[in-house]
Amino acid sequence: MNYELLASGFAEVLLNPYNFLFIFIGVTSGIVVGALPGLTATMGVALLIPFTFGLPTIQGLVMLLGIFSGGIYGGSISGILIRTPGTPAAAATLLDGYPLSKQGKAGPAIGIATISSFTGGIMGALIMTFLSPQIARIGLRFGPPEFFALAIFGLTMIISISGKSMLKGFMAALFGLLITTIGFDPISGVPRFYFGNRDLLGGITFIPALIGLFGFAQVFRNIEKMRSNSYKKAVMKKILPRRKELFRLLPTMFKSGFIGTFVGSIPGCGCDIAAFIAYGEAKRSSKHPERFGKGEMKGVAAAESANNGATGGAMIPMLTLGIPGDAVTAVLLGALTIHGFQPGPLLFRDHLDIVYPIFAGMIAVQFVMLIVGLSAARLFAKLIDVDPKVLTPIIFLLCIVGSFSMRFSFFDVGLAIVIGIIAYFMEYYDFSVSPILLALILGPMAEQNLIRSLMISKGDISIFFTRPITVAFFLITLLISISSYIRMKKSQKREMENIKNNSDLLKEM
Amino acid sequence: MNIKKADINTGIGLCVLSVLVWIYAEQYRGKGASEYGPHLFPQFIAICLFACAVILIINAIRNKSTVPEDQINIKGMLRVGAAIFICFIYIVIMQLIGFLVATIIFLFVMMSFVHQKKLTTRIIVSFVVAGSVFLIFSYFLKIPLPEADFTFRY
Repeated sequence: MNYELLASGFAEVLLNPYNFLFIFIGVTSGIVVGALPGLTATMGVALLIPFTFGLPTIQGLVMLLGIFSGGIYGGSISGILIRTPGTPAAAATLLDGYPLSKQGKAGPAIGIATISSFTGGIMGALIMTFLSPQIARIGLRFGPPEFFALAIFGLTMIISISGKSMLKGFMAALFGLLITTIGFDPISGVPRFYFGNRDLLGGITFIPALIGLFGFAQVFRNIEKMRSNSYKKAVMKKILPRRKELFRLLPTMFKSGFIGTFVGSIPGCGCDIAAFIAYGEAKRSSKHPERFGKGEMKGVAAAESANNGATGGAMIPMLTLGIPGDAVTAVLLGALTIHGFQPGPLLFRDHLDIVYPIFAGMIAVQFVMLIVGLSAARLFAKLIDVDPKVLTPIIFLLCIVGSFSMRFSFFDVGLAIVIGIIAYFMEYYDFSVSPILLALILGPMAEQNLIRSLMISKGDISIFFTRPITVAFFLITLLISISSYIRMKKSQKREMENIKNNSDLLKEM
Repeated sequence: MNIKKADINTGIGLCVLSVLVWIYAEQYRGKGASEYGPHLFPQFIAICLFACAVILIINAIRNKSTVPEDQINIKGMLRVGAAIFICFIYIVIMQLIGFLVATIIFLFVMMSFVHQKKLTTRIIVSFVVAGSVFLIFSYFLKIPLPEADFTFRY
């Protein structure tokens, strides 16, 4: 690494106030787009690329990086406040973010989400700056068997998000996997389970499913429980988390940031997968796994740190190999090409004048995101103070527009409502809906790579047990599954004992 | 319906679903380029789902069902059904009279439906929110929303 050029690249970005102005515009736009249900960071970057055409290259690129990171962070705000993740990457954040919001801790939850996003983002950016070529080489070793093993590893996180019953969690995930088989088969192109409906040929689109599972289902629950009595304003106390709490969460943030960066750097794995894996690990390694899903700050910290760590991670294969790590970096790759640069090994040889400012820009973006996020945390948290009789119809509207906006399709709106109805009833019968989401993310990856691996090995399943990375993933999967199961059983036993003790005490009184 | 019955019914429903998926997926056998055709993955999932559903039924019969927090609220469910009906009417009307006007009406009706008593709040929120969403999506994000003349704005 040429440290002199690195220093001059940092100086070029950090000493020019105009760069900060464009980063600020990018981050703010990203947060707005990310916070609106249905609008992803990918869409945000794609929509705002034309605005960068007239700008100097560095300023245009740092603005796009701002939208990318801001968009991923912004998704957590709506996830925490209204249980509708703005982006798929924030789906794991709402598992604890929304319960915290219901407990009147929306402010601290957003504060932790912001600080965790910053920590994860900084880790991702630093790892990207100093270890890009080394990590890219590991990513290149991934073939179909490794991706299949990774998908199975990701699916073990079902244990962490199953709610009260692991069996029902698995059933929900299997139902989600069945949903992913609707539409064209990814290998042969044969249309499956589309029942003559052309809108289903492309499969169940992810965004309407996401809005249905969380947004519509929540709206239906709100309407069901709506009473005609008057609304009392909640008293909002602290916005920022206490210093002690922050220090308690730092190890989780660092660990999740690292996990996020690594997962994000594997081509094809996005911020959403990274967030779920980090969330599962945080729950598995926690002394109190029973608190997860009920409003545990560590859950928010893990998911947010990982998904923003993955932004830096996803940039690594894009810059070093010209392979986008996820959908957003695919759009960013297009933007770099439009600006006249071809990402890949040659970029590091011929255009270090662009590469190092990108590294510096990614770090500067995290600081701007922290400042904007913390300054606006109180404003965001006030949203929860709006009368539910006003807020519920507005969320209803945003869910409708959000599910429409991806493909401008009313079919998608209908689909989101149907999925919302299913999710609404599922929760009645004690089924957690999060495993469905995880299955929707990982199902296509698992199926494609299973079939590809079997085709490569001509049906010999030993292909999954003879490659080092695959074996490592399967071993980790097995160990995590066993330890999570034992911990979950212990925690359930502890909870039952607590309930029994409490009822005994009540009887004595 | 108690949770034991609910779990048994859900288990039976999912058993039926998995059998149907298995049978339906049979038609894809031999259609792919390789012997691992488009039927393989759905049928594998169907087998797993069937097995889980059978365990759920057995657990329910042996009284090992998990207990849900909420009890079924029929009145509330009817309210949800009515809200979905309003939503479908809104989607149809939106394509006839355009997004902006339909959304103002939708918000006003929905707020009345959930017993928002203050008329001024209902009117102001309907106009401000519908206008803001229209401006953000149409002008800032360039997302075409339905207009009154049966066409889309691009």
